[in-house]
Amino acid sequence: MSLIGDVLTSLAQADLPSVFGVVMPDTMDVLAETATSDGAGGQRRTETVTYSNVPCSYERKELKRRDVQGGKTNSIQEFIVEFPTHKTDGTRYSISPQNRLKVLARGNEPIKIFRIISMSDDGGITFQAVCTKEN
Amino acid sequence: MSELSEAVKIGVYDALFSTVGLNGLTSVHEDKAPIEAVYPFVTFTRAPGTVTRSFGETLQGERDIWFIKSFTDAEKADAQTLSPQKLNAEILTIAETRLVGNLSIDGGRLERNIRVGDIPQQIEVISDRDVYSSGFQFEIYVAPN
Repeated sequence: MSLIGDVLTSLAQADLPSVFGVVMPDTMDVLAETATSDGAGGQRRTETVTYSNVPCSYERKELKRRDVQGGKTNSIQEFIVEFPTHKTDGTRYSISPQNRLKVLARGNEPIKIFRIISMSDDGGITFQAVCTKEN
Repeated sequence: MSELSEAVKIGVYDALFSTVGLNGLTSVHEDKAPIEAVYPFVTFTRAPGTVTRSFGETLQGERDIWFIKSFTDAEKADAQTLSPQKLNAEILTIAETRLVGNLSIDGGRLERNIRVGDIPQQIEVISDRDVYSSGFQFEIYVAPN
């Protein structure tokens, strides 16, 4: 592995995970859904927490417009949610677009739930999840 | 929309509105719900109908098809311990019952009110949730008093 690769690996897996907990403004739970059959072809979901208190930050991706979907007017915005690739114990988070991200309340700032559109990482140090959220 | 169809619309709304609160139904809206609406809700829309006249061009009656649709998201269905499809079916069953049994037209004589067809299930992914909708077509024929 190259020197830079070694440095990034060390940063991502050993040095930075504990730093992210200090410098990132928010924490989130990573949610997974389990589908349960209703016995007639339909499914209802049970939500479980895969990871809790993951440090994160979020920012608006681009300006969006209102749209009519699902029988109502919606105001939907895309966001990028950034969070570490690794936990403080050096293991890697296993998160995919099947998960949802629940950014926890901060002060009187309410809970925000994001659905992941796509996932990518930046140098193996942080994930940058492109998400949508209803405003 | 004619005066007669407007009277029908009010009757349809009243019949549907009487189901609010059942199965967690929050509201009833014409055509589409506003931004603050909370799932599950029902919308109703009038399809262009036909007008029957006598040879003397006297209005004999108006026949309209109304599209009644129920919308729910998976979260609300979970809260009712039903699949979204099943929750919509429960809401629509009650809606049909009320439209058949409780429809009252002020200013018209109700001649026919019956479900004549269904609207296929549709699934839309909206922000952080999946929204399910389905419905039925309801025929109403009203003659002037």
